[in-house]
Amino acid sequence: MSQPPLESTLHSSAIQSARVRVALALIKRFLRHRSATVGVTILLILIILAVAAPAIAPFDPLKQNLRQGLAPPSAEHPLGTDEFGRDILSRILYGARISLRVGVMVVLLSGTIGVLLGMVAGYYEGRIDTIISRAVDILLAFPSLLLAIAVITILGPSLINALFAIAIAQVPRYARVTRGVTLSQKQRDYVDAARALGGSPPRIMFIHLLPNVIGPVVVLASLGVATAILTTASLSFLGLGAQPPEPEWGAMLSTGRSYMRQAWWITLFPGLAIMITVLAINLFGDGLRDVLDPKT
Amino acid sequence: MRTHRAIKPLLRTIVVSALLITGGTSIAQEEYDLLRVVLNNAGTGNLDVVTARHTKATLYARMFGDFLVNIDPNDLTVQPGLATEWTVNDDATVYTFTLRQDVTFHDGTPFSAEAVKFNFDRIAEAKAGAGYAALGAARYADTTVLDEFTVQVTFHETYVQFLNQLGLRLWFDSPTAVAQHGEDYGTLVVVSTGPYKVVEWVANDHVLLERNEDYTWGPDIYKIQGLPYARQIEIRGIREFATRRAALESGQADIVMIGESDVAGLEADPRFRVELEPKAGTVRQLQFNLRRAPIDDLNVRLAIAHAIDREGLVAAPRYSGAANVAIGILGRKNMGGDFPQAVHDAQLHYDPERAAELLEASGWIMGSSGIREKDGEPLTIEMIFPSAALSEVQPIQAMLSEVGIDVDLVELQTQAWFDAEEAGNFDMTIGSNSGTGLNLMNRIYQSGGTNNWWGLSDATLDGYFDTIESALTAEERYQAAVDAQVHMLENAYAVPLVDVFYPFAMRNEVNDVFYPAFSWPSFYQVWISN
Amino acid sequence: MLKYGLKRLVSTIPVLLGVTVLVFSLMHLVPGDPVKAMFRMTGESVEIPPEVYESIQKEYGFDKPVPVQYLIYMSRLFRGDMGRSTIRNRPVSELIRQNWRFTAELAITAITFAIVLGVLLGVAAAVNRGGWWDTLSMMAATFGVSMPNFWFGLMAMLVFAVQLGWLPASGVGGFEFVILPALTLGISASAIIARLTRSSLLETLGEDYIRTARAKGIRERRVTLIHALRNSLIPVVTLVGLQFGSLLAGAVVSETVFARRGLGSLTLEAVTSKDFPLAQGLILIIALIYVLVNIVVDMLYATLDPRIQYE
Repeated sequence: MSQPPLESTLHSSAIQSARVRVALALIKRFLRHRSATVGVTILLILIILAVAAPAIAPFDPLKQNLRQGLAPPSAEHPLGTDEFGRDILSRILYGARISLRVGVMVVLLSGTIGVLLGMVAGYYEGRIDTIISRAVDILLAFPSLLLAIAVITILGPSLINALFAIAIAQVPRYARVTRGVTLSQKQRDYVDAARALGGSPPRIMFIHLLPNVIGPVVVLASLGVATAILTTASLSFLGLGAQPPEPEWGAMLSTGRSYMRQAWWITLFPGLAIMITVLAINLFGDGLRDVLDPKT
Repeated sequence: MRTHRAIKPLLRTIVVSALLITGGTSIAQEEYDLLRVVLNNAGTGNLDVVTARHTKATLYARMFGDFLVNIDPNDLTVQPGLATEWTVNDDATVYTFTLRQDVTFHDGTPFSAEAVKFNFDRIAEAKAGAGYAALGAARYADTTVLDEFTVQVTFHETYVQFLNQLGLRLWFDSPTAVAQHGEDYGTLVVVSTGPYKVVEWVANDHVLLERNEDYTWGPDIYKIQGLPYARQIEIRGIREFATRRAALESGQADIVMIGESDVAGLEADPRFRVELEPKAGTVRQLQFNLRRAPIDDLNVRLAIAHAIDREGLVAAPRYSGAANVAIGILGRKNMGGDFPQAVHDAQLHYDPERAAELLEASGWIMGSSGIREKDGEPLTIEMIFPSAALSEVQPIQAMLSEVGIDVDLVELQTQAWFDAEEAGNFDMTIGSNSGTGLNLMNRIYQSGGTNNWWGLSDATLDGYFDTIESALTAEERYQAAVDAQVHMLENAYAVPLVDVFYPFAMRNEVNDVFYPAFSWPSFYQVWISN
Repeated sequence: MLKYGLKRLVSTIPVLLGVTVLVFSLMHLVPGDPVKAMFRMTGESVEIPPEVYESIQKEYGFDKPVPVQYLIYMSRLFRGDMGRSTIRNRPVSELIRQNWRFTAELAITAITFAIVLGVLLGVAAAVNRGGWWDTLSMMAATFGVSMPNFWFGLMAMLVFAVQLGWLPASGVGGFEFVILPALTLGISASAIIARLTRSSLLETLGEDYIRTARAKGIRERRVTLIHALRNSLIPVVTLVGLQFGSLLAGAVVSETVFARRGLGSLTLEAVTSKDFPLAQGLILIIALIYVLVNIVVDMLYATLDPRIQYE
């Protein structure tokens, strides 16, 4: 599951430089990975486009022109216009900002909570472990999309609330993996040594256990970004997604579906944007997995 | 884009187009096995006249039940139904009905004056729901059986709308069946008098109807009075627009209620035809919380009205031209087709410059960010809306921003939206109500009205509403409805937006869908040409 | 083995209890008044006299404090009474009985499809590692997980029902009705299974005993298919169990797109219309199914892998 412990209780410079060397080797291995480089390249382009959206988008993504609604792709609007006459290209460019942000924020939120819970459960075991594990089991048994629906119905439909709802549903997987790794690592000598030297539990968890958790968690996280983007789209479909007039891809795809028969471009392009992004993230995740976690 | 060509046939009334289609050649009208209908939803809850809360129940009732009287959709006159004759006393408090003597319930028990009394008393006892409202709510006093086929209904106060309501939603459940089935009545079992029997009722999914082989008492408003052509009718509810359209195109359905944006596409397909039925009720309109600044300022409301390009809303893909610009608070259908000149004259036309002047007159000066300000406060209006109105509110937000009004859109789940309206947690909202008659406005805009959530209290307006409710002549009631709407427009208590249709697409072979005075159609007389 | 199953079964009780507490709290936080919601199903407002409001509230026990409501609900639940739906006005257990088989049909077809397609693609990829098949199946798998499922569903409907007319567009009925919804629901699971099968198979192929088997001269194809596959399926089985959970939840989308009856669309209706008893009953049942499926999966483990023994 994880790598051999590189740590020891002493942080000599030798070990530091060994770490750097291992990291470099990993990056090299990653870059040699064909699909991973494709993924990274696409992601980088997407990030650049998202950042540069205000500069490169031909139109204001919110600017409506009702009488030019559903205009097909043309020189003026390369990807056509939506039902309110807004430029789809501009909306997709701005939408990249929202969708990528949603993905990353969901992962940061659920990853942080999940890793903390998992480490605490694995480290302390006993009653704390039982409580946390049961809570995680409950969340796992609770169908995730339904949980998100309930949470959004409570908080009201908006992107931020959707983000929370998706994040909550993703917590269990991080908690489970982290707990597993923590349990196995805890038995190792170096942890015992750290404890013998009087390291406090938080210190042991963060300094010694966390680095071992990172590998599997990063792989999970990369795929989590993809899941978050797709789930946001599903929630939009069920009427529980982003707030208008934000050009969120999932919302564009789901509101566009009423017009997909007379205007193929209205769903095709946001759909492709989601597909390409998720595809890139998956390729990137595969690469990470092969490098960090070669066994699975 | 053939939208523009498509608009013309849409504006023809249904009656005319139905005549055109069936009038020319005479084709043998034969029995057939199954008519498949798809609606936007199948409704849910009960089909018991007392507790039925979903409007689709009134659609099904036109097939599984009968009404005492019927409203002729062409001239809105009251025509016989289960009652052959009726009399009304001068102040419209006592109604006496003579009933048909040849009617039986689906369980074989006879329909009689006792059955009428049984149903009305049950509704009155329940004290809630659409049936209770139709029965005049607290105005209902009692029902007396004069003889086996004569029945008298008495009200505490004048209730002029009773005949109209009878023709809309008061069907009759078999007293024997109600007693026999207890809690299952209305959910598992429905026993009434109509041309079809309910075979299967699965809430939110479908209803399966089977021909009542004994039926001979169909009302004159239909083309047939006896056995219907279809041996069975299956009515399904499908939420997704695309799926509904696919049901028709893939041959899974004969008649489908579609979205406005699909009208042009299906009209262009030679296999299908679209019929547009004007929706009965109030039009889609902006409603305001008049207790709150800055919306309490008449100039601000007038400016909002002048800032909205209603022609643009109708032409945009959401309606694709398959709707009309709203003229009054009520829809055209409720006003008998069109509005008198007075209402047309009171229109607040699209005029952004006028909107700007009005806002400036009230001290709202354009700020640097494109949003108007007064005393350093931005002109921001909080607009709540249910998720279903998502595509309607976005252009409104954009249009108001053109004149410097910032609209803060707050999307809510339907139930939460109602709660927010009721609690007054909003500046502006969007809505419409279904229903027939001129008095539909009353409970929404009269002071003390059950759904007057706007803080609207205007003595002049209340006077008009009283007249609509209780004036004894139709002319007086109509004039009051005109006056009330002109008054509402002048004060911009609400801003009418779009008067919508229910578009029904069907296979070309489908004939004679009947559109009653209430919007939901009846499929009783539908036949299929080969 | 049986003992292990029983033990696992007992251990699910606290989880299911937790689920009931969670649903109960969530449903009470959902905005809107359940009684008013009963009258506002059409999205339009209706008058509700106070005395009627109160009597309905009493009938369903909504007038009591939330913890008391919970205790009453639980005590009834233990007697097998799941309450009565406020919107549908039928017993919750009856509604579940009426609808479960449509979701079961959908979920089982979807997971079968996902397993068959996923394992086939995975094996094809692993056997031809680095080759044309490998690239092609992994590409297909990646596309499968990259499309929002409702979009996939609508496109599949347009192609197979509207254009080609091969399959019905919506509703429930014979097996032909379940194909498109199951495809929509299972496509992403099949992609995940394909990827895991590939990596797991590659790993087993590298292990010693396979080399031994090969050395003994059994034909290559048999080695890979029989020996390696059996062992590499173990992680796949766990994954299937976990995927089954998201499949049940994903049924909401598939059922909505294809207008199918079932527990998914029923749950969406219950949550959004504040139908407390129905939502509670449904989510509890879905959680129970998930938990049971995972126990079965864990037990399957032992059958597949003789090395694993349960106390």
